[in-house]
Order: sequence, then C-alpha cells, then structure tokens
Amino acid sequence: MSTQSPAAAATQREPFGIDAMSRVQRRFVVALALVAYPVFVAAWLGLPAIGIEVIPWAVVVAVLGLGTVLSGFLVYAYRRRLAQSPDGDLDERQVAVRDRAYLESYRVFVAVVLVGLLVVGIGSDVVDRPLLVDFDVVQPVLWAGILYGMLLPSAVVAWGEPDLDEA
Amino acid sequence: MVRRPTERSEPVVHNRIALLRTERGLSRQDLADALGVNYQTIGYLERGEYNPSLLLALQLAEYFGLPVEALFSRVPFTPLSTLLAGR
Repeated sequence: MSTQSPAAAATQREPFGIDAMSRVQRRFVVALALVAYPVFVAAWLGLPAIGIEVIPWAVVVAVLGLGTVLSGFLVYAYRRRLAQSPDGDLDERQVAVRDRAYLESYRVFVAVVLVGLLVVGIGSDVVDRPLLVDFDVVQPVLWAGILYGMLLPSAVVAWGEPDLDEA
Repeated sequence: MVRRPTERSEPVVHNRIALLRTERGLSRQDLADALGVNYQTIGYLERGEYNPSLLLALQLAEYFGLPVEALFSRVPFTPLSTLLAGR
C-alpha cells in the first residue's frame, strides 16, 4: 500500500493557534479579518474628515490597522498548507477542499467587485458628479485587492472546516 | 469544506469502512497512514460526507482484502445485528 503523502503528514502536526480553535472561534477571526480592513480605511479617511479631534484618531487607526494585520495573518496561516499546496502534496479530499475554496473565493471576489462597481457607477449618477479617481482612492482599493486576494482562499477553508474532534 | 454528497445532489455511497477498521483494531491514523491520506479524510469517508475516487476505493478494498462491493454500496448495508440474527 502507498506511503503517506508529504502534506498528509504535514497537516497532521499538533494543532496550535487558529488551527486549534473551534469553528465558532475561527469564524469570529475570519469575520474580524474581513471587516477590519474596510473599518480601518474608513477610520483612516473618515475620522479626521468629520473633525474628531477629541479622540486621538491616530491611536484608533493604529489599533484597527494592527487588528487587520493580526487577524489577516491568523486566517492566512490557517491551513495555508492546504489552501496553497500543489496537488502532489495533498490527498484527493484535500485537493477537492482547496479547489472548492478557490472557486468560492473567486465567486465572492467577483461579486464584491461587481457590487462595488455598481454602487460607484449608480452613486456617481445619483449625485450627478464626475467620478474623481486619484491616488488616495486607488491606493486603498489596490491594497484591498492584494489583501483579499491572499486572504480569501484561507478564509473560505477556515470558515467551512469542522471542529477537529468532528473530523 | 467538502460538501456532503446529499448537499451536492450526488448519490450517497454507503460504506463499511468504520466497521472493518474497528474490527481490525485500527485507528483512523493507522488506516490513513496505510493509504497515504490525511486522517481527517478517513473520518469524512466513514461518515459518508466524501465519496472516494475509484482509485482510493480500490486501495481500501485491497487493504482490507475484500472485493470493492463489500466495502461500498449504493444502497444501505444490512445492519450487522440483523445479519447475526439471521433475519
């Protein structure tokens, strides 16, 4: 009979960190990772604009930014070997899980981009103002593309996998 | 992550993997090591939440030394207690 594949062995190491969390805890971290960045950008751009000077907004932004990075890293780390391994390193079910994660990620990503474009398109029509695209607008969108492009496959796996004792 | 066969509208394939594994005193890890898969995959197979490929089904049959139809069936297997009672 065949010997164990490298990733079958690699994914059987003693779980720690997010790997050891229950599904509920994991989903909380995933939600935090996905929500933290837009909140961070909103705080970065919005707080000074609305004149909130009493609260040291830089601290709020720093905390949110740290939350984005930490939760993003946790989710990225979760089953990264599964979400990013080549076929030869995974067994057939893991390959199916990984492929499904990429498919779901693509669907979510495309849906978000389309909805975003729709909102911006309709919004600019409604307010009857030309769409101003400068670096301040493009930069957070670019970072969002990079962040979510890297994060979504792991996030989909982390969201859907059962508790370890169920598996 | 892998959707249950029923959620995918795929036919459920019933199996006797858990019975045979227990009968032979094997842990899921032992069986997984022998087949070169992750131990969680054995759990998914036993619960019928993942239908194996033909290759893996044949590997399982070979490992247990049984014909593949003794391990897998499209209809539920007769419970062991019923077989023992001769009914």
